[in-house]
Amino acid sequence: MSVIAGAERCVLMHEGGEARIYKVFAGSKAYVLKWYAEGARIDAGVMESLSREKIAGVYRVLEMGTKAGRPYLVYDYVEGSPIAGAGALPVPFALSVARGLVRSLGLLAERGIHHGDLNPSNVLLDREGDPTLIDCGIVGPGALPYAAPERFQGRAAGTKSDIYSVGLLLYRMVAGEDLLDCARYEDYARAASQIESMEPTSRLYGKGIDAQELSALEPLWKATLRANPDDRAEDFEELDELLEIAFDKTCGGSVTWDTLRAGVLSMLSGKNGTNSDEGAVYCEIPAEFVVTKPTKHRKIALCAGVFGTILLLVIALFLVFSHREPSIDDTGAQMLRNSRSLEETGMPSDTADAGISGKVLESLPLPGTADGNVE
Amino acid sequence: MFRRVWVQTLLFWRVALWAAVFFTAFALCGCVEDYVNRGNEALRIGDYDRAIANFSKALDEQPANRDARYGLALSYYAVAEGREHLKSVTTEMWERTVDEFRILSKVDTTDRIAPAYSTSLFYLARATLMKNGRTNVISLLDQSIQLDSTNYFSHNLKAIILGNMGRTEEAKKIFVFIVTKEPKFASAYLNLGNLYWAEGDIESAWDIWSMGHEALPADAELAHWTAAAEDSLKALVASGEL
Repeated sequence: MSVIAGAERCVLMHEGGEARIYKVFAGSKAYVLKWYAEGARIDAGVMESLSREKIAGVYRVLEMGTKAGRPYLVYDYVEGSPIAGAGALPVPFALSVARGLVRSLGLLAERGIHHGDLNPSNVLLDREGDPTLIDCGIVGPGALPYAAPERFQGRAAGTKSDIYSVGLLLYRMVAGEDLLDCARYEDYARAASQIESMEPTSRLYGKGIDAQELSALEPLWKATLRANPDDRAEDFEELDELLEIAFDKTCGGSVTWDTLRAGVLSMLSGKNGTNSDEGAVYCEIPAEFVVTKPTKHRKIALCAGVFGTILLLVIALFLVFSHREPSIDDTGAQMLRNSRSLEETGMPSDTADAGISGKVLESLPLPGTADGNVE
Repeated sequence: MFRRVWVQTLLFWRVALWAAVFFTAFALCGCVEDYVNRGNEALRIGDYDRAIANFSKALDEQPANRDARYGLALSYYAVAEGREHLKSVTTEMWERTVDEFRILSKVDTTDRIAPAYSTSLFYLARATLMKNGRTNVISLLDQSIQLDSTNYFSHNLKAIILGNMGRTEEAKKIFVFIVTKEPKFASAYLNLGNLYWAEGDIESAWDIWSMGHEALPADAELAHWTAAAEDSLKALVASGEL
């Protein structure tokens, strides 16, 4: 039975061209129901993997399916706000979030899963500033401003394309805006294929980022924002090392970092994102997901039907077996019982069935004696 | 064109042949089953001749049919056992019964038929002894015991024969084994007591018979021999011999 079968109420958290997102309350737990638009496709293999185990920093899928020809997912509600609504974040904080992301992407990659749609809406920051990835396994190029050039050529998501997207996400976090902002699909494809010409460091001048931070970020752009996948970092481990170096250069020691982090978290807690239902209006659960609870009459009819069927089956089985003809083995067993009966001595057994002779074998005349006993 | 028609015709006849084989085999199976069912029904109501006829017909069609062979063996068994009641000579009929069980044991290698086969061997051994008391039937009884170690009738007969051969200690052990395993087996008490009685050990004979009498108070023979031993013991005490 669906986990949202017993849902009592829900909140429409987001409605867009891609999907409708509901926060569904069932008992004391909250779930997210994401109902995609027509034509969206979900990678069933990825969802199966995500439902089997909880991967650190990745949402846990509980159900997937199709309603009215549109795919849907049900997953645990994750407390947090998408970084899409966070604006520009201090560089050390952005690097810390990026490291969390890279660790989760590394765990996914170990299981043969690649996100394929990394964008600010799919990364939720919790109260501690730790990121949670949602929306893995969506078939398609993903959000265009974050899609790697090879994805526009129809190639499947991989480690290299996710590394590229991490670079653009990092830029988004430190700049507060997307590096690529185009009008059409073709323009995005062209811009992605010439990403080196975008010069992120130059674009970050005048955005309150100091020279040391810009210098620390430079190797990261070189390891991520490259049109040729071979020019990017080899894997998430390498990228994590680069992020760690950049973080160490920019965090300014543990006290500074703790202060900075606390300030950012305080700032973020005041912001609302699509994941929050504060002020949201409760709505009806989509009719397609409503499970009709059986009425009293229906319950009685259902019980009567089930028990009636069981009763009929039992009667039928009884009739079949009660009229079963005894097999030759039954006959043999009966004859042997009569033969070996110790009840009577030397006479046919009284317990014998009509027609089947019985005899106690005990009575044994010995050669030369009348009663079988040694004189 | 001609070749195509030829191939089609060949294919048709091949399919027809397989269908004929299949349906014949199917009909034959049904037919054999009918014979077995009829034989079983006849056997259960005591119509042994009809049972033998039906099981034999089934075996004519399928000589390795296990149920038909078992039915035929049981039918002979029933006939032979019926003749036992009439005190007729039954050796030949038990030979036929054992022969059927021997064939059956080739078809059915499970131990389902072992108890009936074992009892048939016991009957054959006993009938053979009845016909000629000098015949050595111990091998038949050993085979019977090997098939079914709980066939105490075979153990009992073997012990009686050993006792008659003078191997009384072996016989006694077997009788003790029987009454230990089956305390309601009156004949073992009687025969064991008789062995002691024949040796002049009246006290031991009384012990065994009274034990049997206690286990089987309704058994007239055990009651009689217990009382006889008691009287003998009293007489011995009175005469000062005990």
